[in-house]
Amino acid sequence: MKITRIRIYKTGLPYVGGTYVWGAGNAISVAQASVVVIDTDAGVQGCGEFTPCGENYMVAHSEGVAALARLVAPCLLGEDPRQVGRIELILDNAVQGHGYAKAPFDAACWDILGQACEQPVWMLLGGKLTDGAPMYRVAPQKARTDETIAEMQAYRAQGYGQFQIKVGGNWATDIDRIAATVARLKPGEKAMADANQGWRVDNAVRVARATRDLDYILEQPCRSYEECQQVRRVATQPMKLDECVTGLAAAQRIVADRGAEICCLKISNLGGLSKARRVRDFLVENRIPVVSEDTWGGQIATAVVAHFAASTPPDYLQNTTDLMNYNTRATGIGGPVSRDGRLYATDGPGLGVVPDFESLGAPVAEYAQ
Amino acid sequence: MKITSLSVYQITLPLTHPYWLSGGRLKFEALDATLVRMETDAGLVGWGEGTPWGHTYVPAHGPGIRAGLETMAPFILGLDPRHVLTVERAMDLALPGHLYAKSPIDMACWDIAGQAAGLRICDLMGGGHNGPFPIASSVGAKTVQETREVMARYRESGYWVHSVKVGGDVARDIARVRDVEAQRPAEERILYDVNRGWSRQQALRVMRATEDLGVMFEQPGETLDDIAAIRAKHAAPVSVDESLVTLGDAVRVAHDGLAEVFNIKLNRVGGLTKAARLRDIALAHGIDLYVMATGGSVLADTEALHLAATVPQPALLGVWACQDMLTVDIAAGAGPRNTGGFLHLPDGPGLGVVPDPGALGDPVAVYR
Repeated sequence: MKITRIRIYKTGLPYVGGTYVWGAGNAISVAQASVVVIDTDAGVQGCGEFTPCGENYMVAHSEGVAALARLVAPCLLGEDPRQVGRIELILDNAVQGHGYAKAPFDAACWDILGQACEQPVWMLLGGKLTDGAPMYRVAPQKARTDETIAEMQAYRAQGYGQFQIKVGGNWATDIDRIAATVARLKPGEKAMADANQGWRVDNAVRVARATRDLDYILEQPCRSYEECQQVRRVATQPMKLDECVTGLAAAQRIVADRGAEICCLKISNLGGLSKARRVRDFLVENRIPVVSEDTWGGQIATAVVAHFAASTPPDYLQNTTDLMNYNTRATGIGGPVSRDGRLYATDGPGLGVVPDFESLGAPVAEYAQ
Repeated sequence: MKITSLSVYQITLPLTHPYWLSGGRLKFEALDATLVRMETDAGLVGWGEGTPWGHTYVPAHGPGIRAGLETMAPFILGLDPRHVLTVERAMDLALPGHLYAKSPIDMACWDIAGQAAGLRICDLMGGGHNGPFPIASSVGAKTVQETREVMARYRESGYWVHSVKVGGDVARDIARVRDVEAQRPAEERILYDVNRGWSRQQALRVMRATEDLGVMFEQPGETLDDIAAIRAKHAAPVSVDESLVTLGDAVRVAHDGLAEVFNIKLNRVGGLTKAARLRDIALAHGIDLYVMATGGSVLADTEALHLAATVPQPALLGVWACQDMLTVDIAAGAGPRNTGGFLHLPDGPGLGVVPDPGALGDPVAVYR
């Protein structure tokens, strides 16, 4: 089987709640999705997606996929997409780094491999260890805390039992926000206070101390791994790291230092499914639970997240996200379904999602043999 | 003063000879250069260049620069280009990372700031000296005999600073280092550049087998972790190149004593503004410097020369002239040129060199 054509699409995904506010003054209303569609001489077609949570959230911007495609597409044409390890090597030899832009190419090849052998991607990743992954839901920053509480109540009614409270702006009001929301949790529910790197170390320490009697998870309080460890020396809350989990080297450091209780694995931040899988297996082997998710995305990105979650042992899968339910527009048709607070990967071949060409519009680039 | 437009040009700069990275792992035949023409409402025009060494040398590629400019341009337009730190912050907020995409904007801002002040960039940065700026050779030969021939050619042209590429085969590397040292005139400065080409055991074997010669190696491993791991087991001075990217890297190298020399390549570290901080870390810790373009035209060489001019003379080990490796000259003979193995800073304000009209074709993007 050979890759005969690669097309790149871009489309805007508006946030379902208007404006999504997080961290130290970050906000988006429309995320820019890049979708890679790979065709083969066998008639099998695969797709992948990368959508950043705004251009400046991480070292990853929406222009990056089309830019990378100019260099890697000529190297991929004619290659067998089922050989995902070989595809990964070709991508890494063509351009160093830029893992986020490689992720949709990697995903599209996994999709084709699954279809070619008529197996869902979760089967190729080791099997369905978690049938219905528990989901969390984000409660973005609002002007008033009672708005956040009302939003959480609405999500609770939909079946969500884990909530991520967005903090990271003004540390003093963040203390109130954490106290007000965590105090209202029902038995068995969990909360994460996610600063998305937004606090200075001294302020993060203040927040941790002021909320020391509350049961919640402190997530990525400061910019770097080192700063988070500085907070960790005085914070008693369990710590979840996210943005600084960039690959196997970062994971090895976390394990060696026991630097976090939970690691959030954003598939694009790790360079795609092939690399994310190695990081996950290493962390799980060292008994550090993980979150399966991505920066943002529609049905295609969420399909990868769902297969990744399904193939993670339930004891070490903290939770996952139904990213497609954060948007009012689509990148794909089909894909995982969310029901009663859980995300179910599809059982058909491949990723189980096809590009929504109507929503994607005309390709921004096309490469063919 | 405000930035009113950014015009982006793409040009291919073919190499005179195919270039193999140390150990023969990667081949380069042409460089993908991005030039930026920055206009202001004051009528001043600044030029920036971002030319990575191919697409595979470090995580930096030509299309990535132009994609980064597309994302950053709306945040740059309207700013005062003389406020280089404001522009730097705006770029860092608009696009985390991607330092290599930021260097052409930073360079164009310094060019305009210099012109506006009537000062050379190096003088605006605090004061530049006039050299000498010895150009480092780039000896990419494989065998002992070829190495002798290539170095003889460089010596005839006046070079006395050399970068001899090694890596790939332990026995051959040891033989070449020993032969080069046996032939070396006493006054010459020779750096053995591994370009990350050794594993830890290969590095230790070559470095220990040449210990009696007191030679210096550049980037003898893939990462700072690799360089740190072998640090206590050999006696050779080390220069860090590819794994010196951020201020955090510089602080780690200086604090942990991982190297005695920084090789600052402007495009990789994100331009003059960020490079100046690496320079200061080096000087504060007794670390000497090579300063050079990652690659590119005479404009990129000139940018690096301005930073080199701000490094006190005893600490500046050498510069580089990528222009000599290209078949295309976008500024027909203008700007600093190789005279007898040395570069000389231009006298004019700002960068001191501009591309020829028409040498770049039409812009591939214009932001206003």
